[in-house]
Amino acid sequence: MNPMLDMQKIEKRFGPVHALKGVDFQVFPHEIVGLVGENGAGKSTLMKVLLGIHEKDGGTILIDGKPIGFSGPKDANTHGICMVFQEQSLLANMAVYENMFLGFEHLFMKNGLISKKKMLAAAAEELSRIGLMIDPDAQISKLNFVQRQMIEVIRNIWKANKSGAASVVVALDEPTSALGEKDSNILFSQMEELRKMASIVFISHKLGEIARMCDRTYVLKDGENSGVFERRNVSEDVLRTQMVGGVIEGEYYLIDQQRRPGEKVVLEVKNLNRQGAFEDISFLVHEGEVFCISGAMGSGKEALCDVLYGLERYDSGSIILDGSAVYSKAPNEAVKQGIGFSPDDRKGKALIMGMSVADNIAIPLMKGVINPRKLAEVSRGMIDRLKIKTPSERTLIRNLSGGNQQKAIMARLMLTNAKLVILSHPTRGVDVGAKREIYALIREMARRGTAVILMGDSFEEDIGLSNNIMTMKDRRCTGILNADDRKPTLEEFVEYIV
Amino acid sequence: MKDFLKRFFTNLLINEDNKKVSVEASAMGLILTLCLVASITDSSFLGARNFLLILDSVTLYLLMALGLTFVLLSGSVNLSVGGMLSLNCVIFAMMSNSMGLKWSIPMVLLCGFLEGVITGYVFKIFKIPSFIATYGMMGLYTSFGVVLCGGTPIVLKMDVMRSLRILNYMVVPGVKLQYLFAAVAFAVFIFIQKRTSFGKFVVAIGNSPEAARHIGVNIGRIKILCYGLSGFSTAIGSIVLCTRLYSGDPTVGTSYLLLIVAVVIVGGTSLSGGTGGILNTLLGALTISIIQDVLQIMGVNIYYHSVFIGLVMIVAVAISLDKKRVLIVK
Repeated sequence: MNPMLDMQKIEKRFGPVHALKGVDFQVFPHEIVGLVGENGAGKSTLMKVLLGIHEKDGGTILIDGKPIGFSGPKDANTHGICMVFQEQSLLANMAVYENMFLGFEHLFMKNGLISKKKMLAAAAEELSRIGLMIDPDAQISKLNFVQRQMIEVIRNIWKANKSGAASVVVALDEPTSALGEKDSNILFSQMEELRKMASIVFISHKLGEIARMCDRTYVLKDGENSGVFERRNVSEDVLRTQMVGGVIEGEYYLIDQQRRPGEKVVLEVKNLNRQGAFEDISFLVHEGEVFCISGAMGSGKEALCDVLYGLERYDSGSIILDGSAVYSKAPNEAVKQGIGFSPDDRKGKALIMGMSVADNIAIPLMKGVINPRKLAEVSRGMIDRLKIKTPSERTLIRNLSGGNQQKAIMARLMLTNAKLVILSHPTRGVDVGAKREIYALIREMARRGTAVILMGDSFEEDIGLSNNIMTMKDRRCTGILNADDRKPTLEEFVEYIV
Repeated sequence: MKDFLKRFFTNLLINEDNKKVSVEASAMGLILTLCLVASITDSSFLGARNFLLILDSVTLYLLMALGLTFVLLSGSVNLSVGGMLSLNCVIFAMMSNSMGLKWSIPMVLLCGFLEGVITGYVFKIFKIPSFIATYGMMGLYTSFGVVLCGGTPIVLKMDVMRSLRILNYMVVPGVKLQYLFAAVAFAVFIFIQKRTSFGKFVVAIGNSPEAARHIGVNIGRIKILCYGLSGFSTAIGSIVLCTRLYSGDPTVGTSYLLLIVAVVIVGGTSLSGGTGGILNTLLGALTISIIQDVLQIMGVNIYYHSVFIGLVMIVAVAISLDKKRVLIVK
């Protein structure tokens, strides 16, 4: 049997970052294919290349043996490739049938007007094909998550069939990450129904589900195929080992520079709760400590850091900073209390792209009248010290590379003398050289006594850089591992995470 | 030759950064063209009298629009400037007549600032689009002004008028005292924009509110201050306006709303926020003043003037709006 979708040697670079290094990926008719890997391993890049959101730099995509390339998701859909994201794209204020046929109303005309009756009948037929018991006239907002997901899937399959696609591949992006066990099981039985009509690509961090559901599973690691497993050969453990792969290199993460944290507790979090985000989290961070919070996406670590920085509220528990309880209602209050933050979305949330490097570095120090000479001096000092590559301090920050932008953010945090610094994926999208420099800066921050909370871009990074690691899974803390005397191995570590 | 000219003008007009015509260049082009046309068709355009007329109007527009520049720079709008202007005219006239200029000038400036701050709080507390929050406040302030004066303009007393005429005093030939005041106000606002943390934060918020928030800028407070300054600046404007009209007119603001907003926008301060500034507003004041003057000289009926102002403003927004950042224009 020939694969209906065959991606061969797919290459993709984002500037200096080699995101996909010759990845192969095949889907056969009526198959459920798993796709797993750490954050940043290349799963979503691969899917985006497939959908035509990113243009590939090399390799071929064959559908039913014919080479093809898409200009975007809409084009991909007409050829039978579609993807359903976690953030659903249904219009909540409209009915099921209206959502299903949105943009195709002209196919349901009667006497020159749109016939609701025709649309309802067609919608009911489509829904019954996979045994969905949903009133096609119901409003989308009244349905639960799984139902909405299924409607989106059916809509995509219907559209693909309408435009004449012979075979359909539906990619589901972490469909169960927001679901409990019961709902997940409902979803799985729907998937079994669905496969009669289409092949399914199942992307998930929940390796148990993958092992259970998928006929074959692709494991990606650092933009490369790390393995393909048939159902009979696969287990959660096999996938886990394959996913994390390598060994932690002491030199790379500057482990010889690691110091034991001080005695003084900078941050104490006690029984912190936020509904739907994380539950009962407690931990301590000391002076000069690099404390990693590690977990898959949706584990609750991002929400936890948002709460610490005042971006989100918490429901119960307490945050004690330097001995006194704090409750920041907004980032500006957190900053006043001595907390610094480097968000993962560098361009959208950390930097003012239309302003100069100097302004971006020194903005937290600005108060009242600004002395431009001093501003230039201070920022130039940081630029030299952190070796930020920029033509001048007056250059707009948007003209710098990702690594240098990140260094500018680190410079900003170092200028503020924050007691606690939260770094969210500081090395995301940065080339290897800049990564090392950022590691060195994290070490330097710790050396100066700053407490650092780090959410690294890979598990190796978390282990390599930290004094202590808190692991999170499904919104709960699953353990706090010490990495001072001995670094935990990846296998030991991943146990707590997936 | 034709090709050369074409290249010359595109280089002049096109902004290196985003490969499109910059508003600044277009405004200057428009000014030059208008001056050229007007000076050829009518010799009085270049006369000293007309020169003063233009400067008078630049002074007025600049003073009114300086504060509004910050609001737009921060990515919001303030349509209540018209209402504030009316109200401040009434307040100024009433207070001058009863308490004298010594009290009325500081009082009207304070009132103007507070009106702006209130508008800012309304915007912040209800979390509604600024154009609606401020358009609502426009109604409130206009009505309040009418109620305050009982519906008829308050004529300034003779002695008040006499003192106010000092604004028209020629320091040197061709330079009235009010021009100097406008120049000082302009310098102060430039300083605020370029040399204070407030000015930097305003630009930061206009550029990227999300990033500004994550950096720890208190967005609410900065925006309220922007609105406060825009109220303050209508108060300065109202003093000059009252001096010109010999009275405090409660309806004057409505007709000035379009002009004030146009001055800021035509100067090149973008509605999407973050680009432009006080210097642009000076350019805008010049452009609008010259357009009006030329229309006058060419004998265009005053009823049609707003057509031109409106069109120029629409074109300016079309050029300056950063459509990459404003995905859906509402």
